[in-house]
Amino acid sequence: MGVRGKRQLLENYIPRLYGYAFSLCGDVHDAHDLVQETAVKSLKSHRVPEDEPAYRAWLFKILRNTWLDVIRRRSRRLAVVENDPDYAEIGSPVWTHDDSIISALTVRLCLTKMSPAHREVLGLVDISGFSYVEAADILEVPVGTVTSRIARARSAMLAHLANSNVRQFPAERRGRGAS
Amino acid sequence: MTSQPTDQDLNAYIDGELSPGEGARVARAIARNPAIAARVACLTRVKSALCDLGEDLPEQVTVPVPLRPSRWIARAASIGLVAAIGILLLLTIGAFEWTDDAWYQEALAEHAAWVEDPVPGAAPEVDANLFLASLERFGLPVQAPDLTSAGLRLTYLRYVPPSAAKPAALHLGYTGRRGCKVTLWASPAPDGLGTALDESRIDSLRGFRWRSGATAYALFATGMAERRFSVIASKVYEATRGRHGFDRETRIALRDASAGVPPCLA
Repeated sequence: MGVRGKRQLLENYIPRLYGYAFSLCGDVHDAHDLVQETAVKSLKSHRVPEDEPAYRAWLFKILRNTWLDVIRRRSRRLAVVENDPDYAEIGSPVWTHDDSIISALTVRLCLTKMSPAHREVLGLVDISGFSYVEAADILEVPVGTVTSRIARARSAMLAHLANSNVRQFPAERRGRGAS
Repeated sequence: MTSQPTDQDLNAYIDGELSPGEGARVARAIARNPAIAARVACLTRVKSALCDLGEDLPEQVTVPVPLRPSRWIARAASIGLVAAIGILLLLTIGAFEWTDDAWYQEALAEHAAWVEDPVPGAAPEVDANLFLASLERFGLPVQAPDLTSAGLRLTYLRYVPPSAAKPAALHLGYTGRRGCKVTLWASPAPDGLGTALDESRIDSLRGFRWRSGATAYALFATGMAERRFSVIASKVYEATRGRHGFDRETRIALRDASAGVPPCLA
């Protein structure tokens, strides 16, 4: 595959790459750097999968491995999600809060408080739009692990939302002195 | 699946990951049980908010283009002249009677020529990291900073081969969104150039020069507010002296340098 072909293929995935990177980093600048580094590595590689699903998994694995290198350098360790403190196995818990607190803004803020493993699976499935099978391939875990992990991640997200004091203003506001 | 869907079942349902039969069973449970329906609605809203987040993320990422070597460089690489060139460059350090002022004037003239007549058509987007790696093949340790945080993209590069009178040099050209132009000029250091960041003004064009080890740098800007250029110069100086990239605080400072100053003029 020539340089132009590699670049065109890569460009199609930039938004999803960036969404996944943001879920990992929680910071727009770090996500930008992560995607740039991933792009450079993919363009420099001589062994690029021709099949698009294989290419997609390969590309996102590069990003993930690059991120793992970053956090190793920062001497952090990925939490094991099954024992993650921000998860509580609650079966089918009852949500008693106003659904209006669930918004892109509040979710974005709560995402930064979640464990790396939870952020990662939400990033792959919800932000980047991968199926469970595709996410499992990128994470190199069984599909069943993705199934349980996404359920726990969303429950953890709801728990963080319930405990958050951030609310998004409604899009329309009533004028003063309306008769 | 048991008669009562689990939370995993509900999540897989909203993700479209269940088989048709399993999906139909969950759908019946939703229809019969308001609590399950409320849970599914809640999870759907979380998923939707995350999808919206993905679409709302503001940062624009530029796909880099691998450096396309000039014909001269490609030929040199293919016939194994790279090492010889590197040695030649190293040997030329100090071999020229190339004074600080003459070197600076040369760099300034090249910047002015580029600003006057930039590369026509769509300039290639050059990735600074790849560029640096290829530069190091020539034995000239040049730091090519990534100035995207400052709104500047590396859009031009030119290798200036040595002549009898002067050493080789590298001209890196950065372009801002509004068309301002910044040159970073790098070459073996001339006699008399110090390591401090030295500001000069020639013919109303302000510039900076300094030395980092055996490498000399000059920095010029056209169409940019002076205060912003000062911030960029100080950060580029620090990066080249320290042989490191920009940390998060520096990137923020570069980004904020354009706040409160007049916009650039193309």
